[in-house]
Amino acid sequence: MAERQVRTIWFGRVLFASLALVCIVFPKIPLGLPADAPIFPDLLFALCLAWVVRSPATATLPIVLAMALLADFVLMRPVGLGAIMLVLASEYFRSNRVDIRERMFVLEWLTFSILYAGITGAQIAVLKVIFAESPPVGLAMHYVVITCLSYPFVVGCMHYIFFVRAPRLEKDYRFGMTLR
Amino acid sequence: MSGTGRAQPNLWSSTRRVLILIVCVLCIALFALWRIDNPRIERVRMTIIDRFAPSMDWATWPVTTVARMARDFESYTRVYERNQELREELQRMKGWQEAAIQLEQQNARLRELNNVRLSPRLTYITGEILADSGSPFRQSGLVNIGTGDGVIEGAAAMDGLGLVGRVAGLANSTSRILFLTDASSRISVTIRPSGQRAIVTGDNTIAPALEFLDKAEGIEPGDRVVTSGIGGVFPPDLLVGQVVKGRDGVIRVKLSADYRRLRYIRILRPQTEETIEQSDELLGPRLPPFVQNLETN
Repeated sequence: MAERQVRTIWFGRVLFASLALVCIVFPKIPLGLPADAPIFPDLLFALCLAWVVRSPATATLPIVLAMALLADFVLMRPVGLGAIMLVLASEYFRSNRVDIRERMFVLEWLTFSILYAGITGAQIAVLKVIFAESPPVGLAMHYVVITCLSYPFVVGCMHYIFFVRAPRLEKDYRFGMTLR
Repeated sequence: MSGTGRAQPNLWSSTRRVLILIVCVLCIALFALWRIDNPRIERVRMTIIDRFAPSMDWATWPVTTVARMARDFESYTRVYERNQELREELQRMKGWQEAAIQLEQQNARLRELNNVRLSPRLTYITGEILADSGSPFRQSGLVNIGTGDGVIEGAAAMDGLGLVGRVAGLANSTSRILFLTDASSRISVTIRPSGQRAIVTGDNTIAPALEFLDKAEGIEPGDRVVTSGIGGVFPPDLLVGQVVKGRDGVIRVKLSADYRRLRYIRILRPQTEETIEQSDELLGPRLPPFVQNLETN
């Protein structure tokens, strides 16, 4: 029994890491290179946060950190800045996961959106303060909107394709009702 | 196990807090290093990408295969392909037209001045685009040739016709091309036929702006924009594009390179040009006096 549990946890970790890799590689595929090409959402961010809420034991801090650093290096972002933001955001979601799960999905989505917008703003502010080249605000807002719109899609894929679902709460059993 | 988010034992949560703190310090240190010693971190970045890029190939093939299959199933597939072929042909023809115009102008200038020294011929290496930058804030691409093929930092990258960007970031078998549209791209250009100098400044749009013009009046939409060769970064007279005026009144460059169909890229090889500083010692050491006497006699 315990062995099977360990095996499922490791399977979950491998699944998470490979999906995170896909999220890093996907925007790099050269399908259309020009400047007006449609902007691709920050799928890694959405994946990490959604996963941490649903299955925190498989999306461990080292894996999240490794993926965030790899994304920073490979996606030409300021090294370390994106990683620290992703780690802090995922830890925030991890520590509040019970509250987040109890709420409606719309509220979870809203939390994600506010958090992501705040983090993007903070990144631009940090880059401006240290006089590094920062992304234009209009484009960054566009990126935030696209990423927030992608969140339900990511959660849906996790739920229906990869069966990564939040465990049901004891409360529901106590009152004799289910979440669905 | 995972349902008990708030009821963790104290010890675990405090060690976890320490762990998060360590991770944060690590990230901040890395970020500071990126800011302070940027070239070194960028080199590390290129090395990582160099490792990462070939393995991307198998990860991306399902997507590219599906895209290709979807294209095959399209009912207008022939029309589409024909259209694409024609576009490519047109692009090639534009290249010829451009060459003809350049030759004509060069000829005219040569006839005007008799003692013109022609610039040495350019050689290039062709590579295929491997990957996009992956971030909407960076306009760049990865090409599958690197230092091993003789690419150097800052070399000009072109498609068949126009300038695409320059090499910014090198590894053994990959190099990163910073496109002219990137917000950090600045290229010194000359506008023909007025001969004015300007800087092409990328701003994340498909048509970068022309800045630092002397007189905006002397410039007409449709004027040709070529590299100036000042500073020795790029060879002179590489085609960049044509002048257009944006709706907001900003003078921009419509790039000649076909960014939408960018697949193969030419990277120019460095040209070693000899500079002659002292004219009288050109042919060797000074002759002894008696030989000079002989010559004058």
